[in-house]
Amino acid sequence: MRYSDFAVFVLMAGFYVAGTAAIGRIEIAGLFIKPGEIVSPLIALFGVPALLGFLFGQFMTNSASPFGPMDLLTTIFALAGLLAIYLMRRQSVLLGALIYAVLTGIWTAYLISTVTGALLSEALMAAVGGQLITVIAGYLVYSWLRRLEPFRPIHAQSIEQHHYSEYERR
Amino acid sequence: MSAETNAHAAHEEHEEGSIWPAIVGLNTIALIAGLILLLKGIYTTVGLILVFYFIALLVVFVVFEVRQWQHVISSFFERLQKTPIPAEPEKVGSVGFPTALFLLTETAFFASAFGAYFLIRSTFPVWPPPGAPHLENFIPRIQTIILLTSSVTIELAVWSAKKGNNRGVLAGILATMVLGIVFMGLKLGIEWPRLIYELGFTPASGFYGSSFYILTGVHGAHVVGGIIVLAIAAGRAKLGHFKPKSHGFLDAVSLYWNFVDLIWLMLFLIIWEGAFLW
Repeated sequence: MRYSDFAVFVLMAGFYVAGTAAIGRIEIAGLFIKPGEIVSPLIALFGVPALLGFLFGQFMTNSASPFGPMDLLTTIFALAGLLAIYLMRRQSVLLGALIYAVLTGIWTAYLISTVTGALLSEALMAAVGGQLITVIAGYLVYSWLRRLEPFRPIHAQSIEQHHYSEYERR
Repeated sequence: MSAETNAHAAHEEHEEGSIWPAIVGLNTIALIAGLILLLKGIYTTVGLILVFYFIALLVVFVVFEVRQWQHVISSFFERLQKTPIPAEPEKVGSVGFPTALFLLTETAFFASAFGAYFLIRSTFPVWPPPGAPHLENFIPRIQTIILLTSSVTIELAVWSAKKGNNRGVLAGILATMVLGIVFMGLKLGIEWPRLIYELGFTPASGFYGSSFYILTGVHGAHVVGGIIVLAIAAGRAKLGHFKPKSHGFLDAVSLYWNFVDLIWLMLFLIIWEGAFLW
């Protein structure tokens, strides 16, 4: 473990907890929004430590979820979605983020309808719609961050590695 | 070599081989034994003797050693200025061995504290216990955001060190210190007085009260420890000790601070947000 890996892990967990528990879940125009989810596309920038930090933060936050223990399973669906972001980071971060939003949105909708008895169609609208808005906002944050100096070398390095592996493949 | 330098060298040798740490360490056992005997009322006289024995020894230590402290401190800083900070100390997967060992003991400590909390909580049919006050989470929410921001500022200090920007290092460390002080100010200046004086929620308010104050108090003590270490790091940044290839101490400080932040996240969720309360 490098020092910076632990920092990334804590910061991602922290942003998730602060965004979801400290700020709180928000309902706008019937859409179910968790502000902590905004950081999900940043996994493309910070890699595996960020992925693990996000999952840890989500698991801990969901342990205090109003939806009960079933919400802990959200982490499994989140893992699948986050892996999509991570594995597709060189092709399209936005596409990976959208896959994440749809996967976790469908699961959250099922969770809401099971726990509260709401109609699945309405829950789907609220959860998937909310997740899509959140990850798109997150993608904008990602696009802005990767232009900043502290993060530019990491990004440039990953692109360089990509070009090198492409060259190797040919 | 002059006579004075020789004398200093001999003195330094004497400091390295001092027997006092061993004597004070061993007598701490006498102090603890004395306190146990005294507070439990087993052998009050023996307990008192042991406590006074420790105090007497401490007085002897101060009287004999205090004359040399000025020289010890000045020679320490003299050596410090000449010693480069290793960028990569002994490694345990890139983390310095002393830091890794320290964090391991800290993890074990907090794991046992949380373990004890959950174990006792599981014996209560309802949690929080009936009659316990509702803990407002407004201040802890602000504290969460403050500590998170402080993790960002300490990382900016590390990044500045890597870039060779000494002013950035100092600014990052000072910002982290200020945020840590604000965090403690909110806890000791607003939250705890309100709980103790307005709601009557004290460490004596049953297990709920004692566990709350132990967990948040121990975490607070770690934040205070972090602020002290940050002050040392700020002093070293002012002396221009941190270089792009030599900032191991700052790395270790940032690791510790992030660890304290991580513990707070768990405390916040478990105590105020009611994690695992199904």
